[in-house]
Amino acid sequence: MLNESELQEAAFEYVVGTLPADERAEFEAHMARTPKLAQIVQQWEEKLVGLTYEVKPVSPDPNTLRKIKARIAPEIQRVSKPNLLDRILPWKWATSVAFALFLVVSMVHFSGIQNPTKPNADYLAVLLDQTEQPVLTALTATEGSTLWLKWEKWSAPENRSLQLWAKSRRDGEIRPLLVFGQQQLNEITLDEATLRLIQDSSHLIITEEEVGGSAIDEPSDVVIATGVCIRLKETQGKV
Amino acid sequence: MLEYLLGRCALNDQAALERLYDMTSSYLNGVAYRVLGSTDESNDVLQEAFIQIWQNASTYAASKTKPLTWMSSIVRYRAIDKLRSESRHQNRPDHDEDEILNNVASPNSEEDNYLLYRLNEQLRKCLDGMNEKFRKSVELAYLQGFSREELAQVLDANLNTVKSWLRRGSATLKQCMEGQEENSHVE
Repeated sequence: MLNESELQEAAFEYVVGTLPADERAEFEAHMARTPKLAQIVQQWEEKLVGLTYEVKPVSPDPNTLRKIKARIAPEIQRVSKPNLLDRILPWKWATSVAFALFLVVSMVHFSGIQNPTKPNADYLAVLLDQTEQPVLTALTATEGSTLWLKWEKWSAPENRSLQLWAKSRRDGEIRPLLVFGQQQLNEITLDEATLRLIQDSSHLIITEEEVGGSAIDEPSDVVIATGVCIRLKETQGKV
Repeated sequence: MLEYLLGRCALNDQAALERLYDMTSSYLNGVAYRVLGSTDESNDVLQEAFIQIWQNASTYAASKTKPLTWMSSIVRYRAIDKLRSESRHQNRPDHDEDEILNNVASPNSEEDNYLLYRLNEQLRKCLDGMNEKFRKSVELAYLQGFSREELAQVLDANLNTVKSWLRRGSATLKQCMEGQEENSHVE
């Protein structure tokens, strides 16, 4: 068992790069089991990265990006949400809960082939319209502080606003999350209250409302899309 | 911006990866090239690193590390692994005279460049006040991938002496850097 100063020294040598191959491998195995060591490594990385300011940039080979894209293309196809949706359209609407779980399990399974590391995404919802086409994938990441939005379809209605709602899994109440403006929004920093609403939600819903959102904090009947909200980390832990 | 693009990569957005590549590949390729001394090998490492960045984008935690730190660490570790696994060191060119380094403008954003500049300034203030052999060891190892054995050879010292420099120097450097950070907070 290494003490604090030995951990610091080992982490420093790992980050600087002076460890021989066998010691590097041993260190990485130790780091995988020791969060404290990983944290010290990150601290040294932040301290030393300033040295790269002295490195002159070198234009990459024009083919390098093409090779990267060729290698990730099959992966995109395998985890692509629309493709999965298309494949299971006949039954997914009736069993939306099962569908959503299937989607997450599929994502974890497929990404696991390429990458054994679990994502740090927390909550996921795929919102489908009435024709069962995906409209929006919402994902909280960065330990819950950011909501990422991937729009499959975006059209801001004239003189109306789209509003996102969370249906509580606890009491079934539908509460407002945010109102979209005319511009497509792809990332939102969440405050504590909004994050709690998402964490508690069973479904996310998008409705069309008057400009600026529902005045009475209740959704209209014009539902644009809806989707089951899934706690990704818990689901992954069970897979 | 880089944080946002990494988030989009986590959602399998290939356009975001391309934008991320456009913004950082010259800088990251420069980091790999400095370690490996070969453009063929640096491009190989760059390719592998971007696959890793793509696959692990969802594990990137902005609250713990800056995007450029995270990405450049992936590239450096890949480059060092390549050197060590092949039990060799680079055919080191003279970096200053090498025509490869043909004044490519820094692709990083002004904000990222300024961040690196500030970190470099803090680090330099500390390193320049320390034992010269330690400073040289850190520069050669971090930027050019020297192992302990290679440091011993080039700095004309035995292996235990090099280990001792690194051990004692790292503690002093940590203390100095933390002092710098505290001062910058006070300022």
